[in-house]
Amino acid sequence: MGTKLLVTHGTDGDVLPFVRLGSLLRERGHDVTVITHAPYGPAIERRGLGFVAIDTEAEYERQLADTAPLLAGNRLDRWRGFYERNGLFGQITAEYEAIAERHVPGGTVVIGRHTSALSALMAAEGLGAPAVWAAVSPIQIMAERPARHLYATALKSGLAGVRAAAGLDPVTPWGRPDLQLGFWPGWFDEAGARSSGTLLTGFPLADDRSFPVPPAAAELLQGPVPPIVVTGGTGRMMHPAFYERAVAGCAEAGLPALLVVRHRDLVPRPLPQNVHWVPALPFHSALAGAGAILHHGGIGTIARALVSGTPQVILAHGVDRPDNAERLAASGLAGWLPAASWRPDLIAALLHEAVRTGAETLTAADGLAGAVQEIERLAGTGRSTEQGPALPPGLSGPRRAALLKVLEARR
Amino acid sequence: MNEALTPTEAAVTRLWAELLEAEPKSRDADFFELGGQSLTLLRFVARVQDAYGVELPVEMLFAEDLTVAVAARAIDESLAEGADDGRLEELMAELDALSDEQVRALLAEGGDR
Repeated sequence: MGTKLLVTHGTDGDVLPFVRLGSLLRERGHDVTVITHAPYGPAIERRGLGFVAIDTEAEYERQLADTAPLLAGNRLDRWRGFYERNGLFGQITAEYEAIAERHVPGGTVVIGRHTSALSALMAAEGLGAPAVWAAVSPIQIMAERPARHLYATALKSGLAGVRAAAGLDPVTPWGRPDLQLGFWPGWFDEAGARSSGTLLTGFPLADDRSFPVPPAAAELLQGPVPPIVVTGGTGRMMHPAFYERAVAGCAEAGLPALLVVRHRDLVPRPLPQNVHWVPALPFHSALAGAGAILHHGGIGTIARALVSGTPQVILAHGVDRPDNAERLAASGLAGWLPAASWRPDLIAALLHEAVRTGAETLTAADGLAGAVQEIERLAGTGRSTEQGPALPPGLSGPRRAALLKVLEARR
Repeated sequence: MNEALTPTEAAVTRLWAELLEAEPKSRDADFFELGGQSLTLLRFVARVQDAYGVELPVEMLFAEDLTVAVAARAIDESLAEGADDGRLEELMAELDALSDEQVRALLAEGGDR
């Protein structure tokens, strides 16, 4: 069935969908390698997939710690500094080399995380391998235009070096993928800015992390009052007050809470008596026992909560989270607060409301199974047949309509 | 707010108040000083596109001083551009840059997106 090379960056919400996509492709007989951060190696290899580390665990942790300043301000040069400090230009070169080594002419598709996996576009250009960009949240599509501006300005010289090292013309503008996928459903897309030129396959529904619920957490989840599960996801690109305000909200609500945060230094001290900390929790088995989940608005957490029918309250700040939260709230599926309103009484009111009203369990097609079909179609034909070719970025809404008017006039 | 804002400045003020941590108090209020982030700016751009049917220039997303007045001026200029022949020429050039397949895809999809 050919070779499928997956390249992804970020935290669980970005990486786990690719790991599971790789597993599904392998089950279908494809030879799969995932190229990503070192800490995900064991989980990838356990599934019988090939793995190439793009960093070391220490480098990955250092890079995560360096992401918080990216949230503030808009100066172009902060991005160049981030790429340089974290060796990201060299990382793209290493990714491309790993792809080129494994590339089988005529039988390889490269699937990269939207916007960040430039190595996938390089593979299309330099090796002729069909390239797929897969986005995990709509804001990635919204961010494509400024990202391409960054590639053409602040990151231009660094990327020219990357291209030259791969034997590509240093100044040719970046191309477009042969297929662009979005791992969210149509109703979520329609609840905010629409994603043009993107084939939507639905949320990735299964959780890839399987391990026993820690005993103290199990006791809480089986207790008389279902606890609030509090999580800010697995990243560190967070509002500094997130955990403190979330914990204060649970205390104000008088509800027991299970605080799930991987990084010990982010845990507020001292914790109120009704809040218990665990570094990780297998959400797919544990969320069903929660009264509600109070979280940051990461798309992976949103999908997990929808699937397990857990009511959601979102304290959204930064990256894709306010956009995700707005879409969910507009669909009547969550309550949310922007950072300026993170007051214990407001959080407690939303938690009580969520616990009282409950939530429906989402039944939907698995977006990753849909993605496998599209990738196989692309591998067979060289292009996606359902959505047609990906349109240039920015061709949405009125601009698209204006272009259509011109087209109509020309006919 | 004790100064007379233009209608577009007033609209920008309303949009920023909705998106940011604090309401802009004047036309010189700065997006980033009010707690705005680059991805919040993308949501502002999406709302402008929704409300005015114009796509703000990408350079504005990286402007050094993004005040209410600067954002409002960018909207007004984009609207003015949309009204003249230059806009049509730009669209024609954009159309010429599309492949036949892309043009067919656009026509097949219609203008409802």
